[in-house]
Amino acid sequence: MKQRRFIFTVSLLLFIITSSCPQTNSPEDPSIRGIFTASTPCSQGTRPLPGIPAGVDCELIKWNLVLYQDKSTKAPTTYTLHCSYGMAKQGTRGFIGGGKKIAMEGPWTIMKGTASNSHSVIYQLKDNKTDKAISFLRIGNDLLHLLDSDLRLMTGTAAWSYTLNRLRNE
Amino acid sequence: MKSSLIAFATVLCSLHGKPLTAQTAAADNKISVSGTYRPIPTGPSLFGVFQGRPPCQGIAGQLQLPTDIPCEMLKWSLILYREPLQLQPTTYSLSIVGGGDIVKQEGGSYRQKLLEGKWAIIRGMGSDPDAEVYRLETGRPGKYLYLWKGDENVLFILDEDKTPRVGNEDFSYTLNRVVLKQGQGKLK
Repeated sequence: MKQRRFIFTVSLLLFIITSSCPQTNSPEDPSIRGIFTASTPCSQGTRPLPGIPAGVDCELIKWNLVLYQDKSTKAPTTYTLHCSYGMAKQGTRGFIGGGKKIAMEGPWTIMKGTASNSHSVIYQLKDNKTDKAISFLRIGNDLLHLLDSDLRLMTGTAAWSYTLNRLRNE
Repeated sequence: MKSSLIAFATVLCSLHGKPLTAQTAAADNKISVSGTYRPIPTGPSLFGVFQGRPPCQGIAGQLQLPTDIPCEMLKWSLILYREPLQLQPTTYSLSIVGGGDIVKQEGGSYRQKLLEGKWAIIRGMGSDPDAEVYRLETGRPGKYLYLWKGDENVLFILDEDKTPRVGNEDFSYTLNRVVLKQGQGKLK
């Protein structure tokens, strides 16, 4: 009896572990619409993500955005967004002090057309925690560009832009 | 019962209402200031100055720029001029640091290329026949540099087939309008 209980418990634990192991995100996974990365500016006036405190120094944000879709219908489902932010470390691509992390997740949707351009395709991401949203203009199949509150393109700096680039398998 | 209905309605509205936006307010979406040691172009014929750091890959080959190995990005500074009355495009000047000829300076050297010529506005890019594209002559017959106008302040570098180039996690093929101010520093 004890042995059966032991075998059952171990089997159950193994099942839970294997079921909950996160899938490695691959751009070729049919449930993934795309993985987009970028290094964008950050300043007192332009903190496009919720959760970056007003008093923290920030000049650079590194983005990793995964957009998921329904495998059959290709309809948007959810996203995950992992960012690092802080002050850029001169001579490197990293941050002073390693930077700070921030994460968002939630549903995303596609909107077609804006007041200024009826052909625009806009991706809107909603954060489950804060109920806030950020929007991107889709540019072709491989680029997303961050928008401001009036759905205009965010203007970057001499060093960094607000364009996210699709990650491809090399 | 009434308070329950009110609570339910409140929850329902909060679930289906428009989400609070986290986007940067339009008022804060501003043109940035960039320092330069060169004379700052001014006057009614100046259309704008655009800067960015596109990856080396692809564009260096298209423009036939020799680069060091490795080459991760190029520093671009593009000045566009136009006729002041009818606002037609005239000439441009594109400074590219990181590719081109070797320039020696005290303490080291760097690569730089200066492209100059005429530019024009054409229509059409991929599936968008109305897209406004800037076509810059490169000095090689039949060879152009194409830039898609995202808006007045943002340009996207295209390839020779007028397809947007795709950057990486560090650098994008995007140029941003800047305001120049006299700065100090190395000759670049």
